[in-house]
Amino acid sequence: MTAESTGAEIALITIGGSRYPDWPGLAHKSFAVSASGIQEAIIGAFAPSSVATLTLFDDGVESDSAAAAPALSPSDIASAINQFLQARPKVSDIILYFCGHGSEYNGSLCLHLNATKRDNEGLTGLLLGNLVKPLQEQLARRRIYLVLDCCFAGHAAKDLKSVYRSPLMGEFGLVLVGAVDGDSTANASSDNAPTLFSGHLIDLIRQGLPGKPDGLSFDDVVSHIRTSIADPTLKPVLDFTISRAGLEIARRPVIPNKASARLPIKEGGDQASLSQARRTLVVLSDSEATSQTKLVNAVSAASTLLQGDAKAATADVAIVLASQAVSSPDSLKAVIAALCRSEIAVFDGTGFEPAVMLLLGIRSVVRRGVTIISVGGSYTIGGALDIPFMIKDANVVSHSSAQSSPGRSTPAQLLASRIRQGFASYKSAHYADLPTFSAIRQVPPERREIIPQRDGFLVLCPFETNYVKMVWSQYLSTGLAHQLEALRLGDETRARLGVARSFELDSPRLVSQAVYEAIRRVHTCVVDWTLWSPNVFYEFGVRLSVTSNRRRTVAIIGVPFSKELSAQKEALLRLFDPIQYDPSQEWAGTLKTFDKMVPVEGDVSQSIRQGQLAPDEIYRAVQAALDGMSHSDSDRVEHQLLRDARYFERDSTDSSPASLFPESATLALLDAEAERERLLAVWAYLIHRWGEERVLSDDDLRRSCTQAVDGLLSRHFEALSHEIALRQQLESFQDKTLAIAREKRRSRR
Amino acid sequence: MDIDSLIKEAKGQKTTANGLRKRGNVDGARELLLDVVEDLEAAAQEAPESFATDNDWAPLRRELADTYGMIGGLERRLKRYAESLSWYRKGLQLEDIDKVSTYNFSNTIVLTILSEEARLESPSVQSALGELIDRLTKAIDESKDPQKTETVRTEQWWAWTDLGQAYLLKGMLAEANSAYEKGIRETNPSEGDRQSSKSVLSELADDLAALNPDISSALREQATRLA
Repeated sequence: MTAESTGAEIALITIGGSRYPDWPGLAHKSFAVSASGIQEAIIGAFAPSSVATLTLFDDGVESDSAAAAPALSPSDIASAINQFLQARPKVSDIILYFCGHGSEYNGSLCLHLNATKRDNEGLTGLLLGNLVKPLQEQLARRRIYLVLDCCFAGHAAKDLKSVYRSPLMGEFGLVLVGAVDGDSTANASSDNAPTLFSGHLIDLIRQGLPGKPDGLSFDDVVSHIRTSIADPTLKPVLDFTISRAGLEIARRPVIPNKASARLPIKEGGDQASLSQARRTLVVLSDSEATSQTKLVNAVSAASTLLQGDAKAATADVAIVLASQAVSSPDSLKAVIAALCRSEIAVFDGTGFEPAVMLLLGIRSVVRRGVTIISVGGSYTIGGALDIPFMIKDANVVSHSSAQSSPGRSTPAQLLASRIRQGFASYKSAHYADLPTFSAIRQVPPERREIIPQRDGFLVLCPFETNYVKMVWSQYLSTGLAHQLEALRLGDETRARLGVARSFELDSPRLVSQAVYEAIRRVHTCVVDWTLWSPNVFYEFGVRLSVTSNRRRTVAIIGVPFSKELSAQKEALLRLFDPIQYDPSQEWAGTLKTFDKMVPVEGDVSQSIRQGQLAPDEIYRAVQAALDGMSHSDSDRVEHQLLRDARYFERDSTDSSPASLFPESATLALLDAEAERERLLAVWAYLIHRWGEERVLSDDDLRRSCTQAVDGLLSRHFEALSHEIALRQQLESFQDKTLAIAREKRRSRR
Repeated sequence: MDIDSLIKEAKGQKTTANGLRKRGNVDGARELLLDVVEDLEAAAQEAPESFATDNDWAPLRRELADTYGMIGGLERRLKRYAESLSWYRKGLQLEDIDKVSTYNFSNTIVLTILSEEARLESPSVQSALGELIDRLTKAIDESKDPQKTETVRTEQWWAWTDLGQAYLLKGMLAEANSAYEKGIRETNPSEGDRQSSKSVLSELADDLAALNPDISSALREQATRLA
């Protein structure tokens, strides 16, 4: 009945039945095929020693010997699970799979077992509430993936919510995956095939999902079944509202993805797939890759200087070479997944190579993490460095040999310091190590609509003097203006945008903010690769990350360009195949080229395919990667409020004020009020949202609430002196948390 | 637990203890702070040789010194002056290594008087007060020097109250008044901090009423001004 090692962290428990001795009409072999198929697929997906299995399906007995064994009752099932989990304390994730008949019994979902009798379903069938309650202790602090392949599966949510919302289950987490919603019946198949739902599930586990990371979540699985399989009878549900951590669990990559994209890893480096959820990503420039990988050494040395979680994060590193990242669409998509997932990304800015800048542009959009740009070569901190305009504000560090000379902070020290500081604060909405993340998002609703093609084009291009004189003024701007005029034929209104470069945008906002807004909004964006400007490639990365195929992004490049291109530039040319133009010609003589850039006839609205990538492949890759991520920390309301409150907090040791103008009594009072009200908001939100009992029993909620209440009673005690009832509530909460803390301390001793 | 996390947790517990103290639960606050001390001392024991000297340990030293001082403050509220002095002295030992704060130094002087270990006018107390004033005025001056980041800053309320109190005990009333006024103007202390400073001065005035009536009345007058 059981198999595995006791050290396993994943458990698969199968329950249900294909035969019903007391209700023979329900027997269906398809259920048994499903259960065994799921079991084989799961065991095949994991390393054999890492999954523990408990087979209670058909009572864990082959059909030949079934007659001899008495059928297991619902309480026998609960006892067997209890015993199984008791012996496996390391199991953190449990896939509880049921296949068989489901029916409604007194408003609850009743799962049929071998023992289930007609007219006595309530006692002989399995009611989930009755199963979970006696298992509370064993289910504590484990993640449960409850997969129900039966009729009315979605109905289980209602039965489980009451159990999971009780304070006893405060720490528990469960996600429900059902074959159908609470009102629908599920389809079995022919006797020798698995059921429709389990069949798809088995295929997904066996074959994986291309384009997804190494671990698949049940959110991935259900989304895929829902959207990709055109079968109207299949209505899978994913309910993560049953327990507080439900969404996190639904999005947890728990099933190994057999079809995950493999990443281009620097030769001799870590050969593991980059799309595994590594916590730190290092993007190496091609020039540095041939010089002893100083940056990799610096990251490794920085790790030894760090402590706690930052140390753990920097020890979990994936390394990718820029030219290999852009060597194929699959490589690029895998790197994008890593850019989305890595908490820390270190970019080798030596020479500001185009592929590095492209990836940096993508990173700047997708993730509020710690992003560091380090420059090698001969650069030392404080020395002259021509930083591309769009990242002028970035705080660049150095990993050059000269930086290691006596009297300077070493590259490892510089990196460790940045990582330490960034790691402590990047989850705050106020944290920024690149200018893009907030600027591209913080566009008010009235300014989010697409700027249509007839209003003009945004041109992302270099600003070098010769380029402006020889290319832009004499050729490109005139040709593009001609195309715009043709598009607007008969339109008397003013073109809002015209043919505009980033500095020419008509906006009161800062130049960089106006550019990001335009990058997000314009329908047509022409990106000129001529001169391989780092700035242009950064902007190109931003543009590709944020625009779907409802917009048109066109890469172009002036010819002739050097025949001896680096491997990286050749890879970029292959990948994006920019339209080539010859600026030495008269623009009017090359109208066909301009027609390719911005056609004025036919379907002008759709984006175009250039090179090996579909028009919005990068956008979709970003979306797919972000879709699978858990944002639990950064999105929690109380965490956000607590971080905000800290900006107004007086120093706890010396009581120095938060205000920039400490001599203003009014500002000091306003700061105190700002902190106080935010702390009160945390307390009020948590207590009213979850109830005091739940807050006290949940470590994370209690920690947040305690931080707020302690801050209020410590720093705002006097200000609350007129609100006796409120202060008493806070004091009462503090007393309760203290009692819990004392008890925990006693038990630790 | 790593040192950063330990210090973060200690700061949180000290905040809790402060709240308890304000609520009047001095015993509860003391009990909590003793737990903090136990945890911090256990971490310090991991490097008994370098703890007192190595810069890497400075954050832990400061945290421990501050916690010792806080317990000293609670003992003082309970009028257990000998115990209070003993905690402040423990804090002073660590404070003297980094010389960033004068919290324990200032209170050690006061408790030396309150516990009747030495009289206010004794040369040792007067010399210590002089040194404290020197250190604080120098630190405040240096805070205008952009190269100095680890000195007492002018916007620290407690630096000004330490200075004001030292001047009062020295009988330099005009200087004391000026220190408090500058402190209020430059740091805009919270209502709680003002009240706390006021009660420290009032209690000290009570305690010195018999021993040094002139100083006691100056302290009381200053406390009234803080109200």
